[in-house]
Amino acid sequence: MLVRARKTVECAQEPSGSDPARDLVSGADAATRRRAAQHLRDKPEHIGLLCERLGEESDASVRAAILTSLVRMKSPAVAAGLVGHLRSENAALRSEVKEALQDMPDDVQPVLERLLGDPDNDVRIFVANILSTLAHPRAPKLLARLIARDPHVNVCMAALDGLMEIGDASMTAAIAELPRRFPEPFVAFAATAALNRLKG
Amino acid sequence: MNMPQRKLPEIAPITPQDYEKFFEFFYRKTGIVFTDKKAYFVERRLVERIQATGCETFREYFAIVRFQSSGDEWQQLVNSMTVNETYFFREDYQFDAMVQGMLPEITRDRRKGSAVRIWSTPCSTGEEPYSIAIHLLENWKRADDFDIEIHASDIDTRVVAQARRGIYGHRSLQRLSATLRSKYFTALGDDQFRIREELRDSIDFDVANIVDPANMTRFRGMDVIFCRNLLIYFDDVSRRESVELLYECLNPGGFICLGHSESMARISSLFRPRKFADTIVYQKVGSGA
Repeated sequence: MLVRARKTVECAQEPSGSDPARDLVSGADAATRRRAAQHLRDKPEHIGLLCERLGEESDASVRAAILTSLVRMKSPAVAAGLVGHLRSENAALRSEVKEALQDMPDDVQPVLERLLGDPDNDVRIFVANILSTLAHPRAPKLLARLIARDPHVNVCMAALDGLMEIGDASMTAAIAELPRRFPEPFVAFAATAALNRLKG
Repeated sequence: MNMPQRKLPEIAPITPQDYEKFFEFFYRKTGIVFTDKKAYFVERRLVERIQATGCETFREYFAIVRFQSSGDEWQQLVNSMTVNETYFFREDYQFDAMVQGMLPEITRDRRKGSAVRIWSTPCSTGEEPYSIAIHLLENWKRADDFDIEIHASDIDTRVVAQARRGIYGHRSLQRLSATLRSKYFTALGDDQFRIREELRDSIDFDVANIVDPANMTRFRGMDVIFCRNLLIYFDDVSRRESVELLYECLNPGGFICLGHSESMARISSLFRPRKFADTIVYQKVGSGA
């Protein structure tokens, strides 16, 4: 049956005297740590701490709160702090970080440009994934640069995936070159598909 | 957003810089972003409020909005800037999903007599929460086994007051059968119908801003949240923030229903999509209370 809802009292977000930075590190439960992350939302002096905790935090809801706070304070420092987590072994964290980075295109673009030369193939693949959906005018050019220069076939294929969506006819020369650099049949197939698409 | 500089009879022109300042302020307080398509709507409403307060310049008006201790003008401005078009049983396939899938799952191990909490936000003029109540009474076989609390909130004080009054025109009721109309409404004449008192009294209407964490602490322990066609007005960051707050308001395993054009996929990974009765809803995963 329908009953009148009991009125609840609007309570303060945190007891006075609590220290969000401390709670974020050592809060006993996820709710405490989540609220601590929310309280650090407008405190750029804690960007380093938030980025660091992201790698330590096991609860997905706390990581989500940390990332939202960092996206709210988006800056080159936040982008630089976040890209380190692309090297994490935790696939869920990598994927959360990729989504967060896509929400700060102007700040992350220079950082991604530097990572095009990262020695780790996996990192460059993640860079290609992020660039593929990044709302930044330089994203197609950076993907084209990966296709023209990157020595690893999987990185080039990740970049090609992106260029199929956001590339243009000026990038076809680099794509046409791919089957010569990597003679595997799937590269020729993917390059042909991309060229057909970009040439219209 | 490019705003034309325009001479108005009573007030000084509002400059593009003024608009920019206004949009930024409104966004920070509500999470709502106005696109170019809304430029005329915003301009008209803003000028109306400036005139209504007797101000002669935007600057004078903006000072009131920001610094008035009662916050009354801020609330008036919010009321005028929000859109409240709705009707009974809108997107009712989600109500089918609620009684056929979500509630049976939520109450499977719950003892008789315990509470089931449902929240409609934004509730606008009340059509959605009343529709939920009617749908439950008509279609959920176990409705009598539980104490069902329906909470309803909106940022707009004016629509909340209208919802509490529960008076609707024919247009709002057009999707209701004659049987349901006669069962749950009293005709007032002049094409007006009032929802029956028992139903009005059973719903808790309140004013709340879903991007304000302090406001949201009132809505903890929810089993199902209807938050339809609101997040589309927010930018990415505000969407993330409000979904996080909604997450905290849900019980573990609780559900959020979004509008048919909305998706949780790009907002948060904290919810699992579930399909019930031809619709996708989002279930809170994990135990984070």
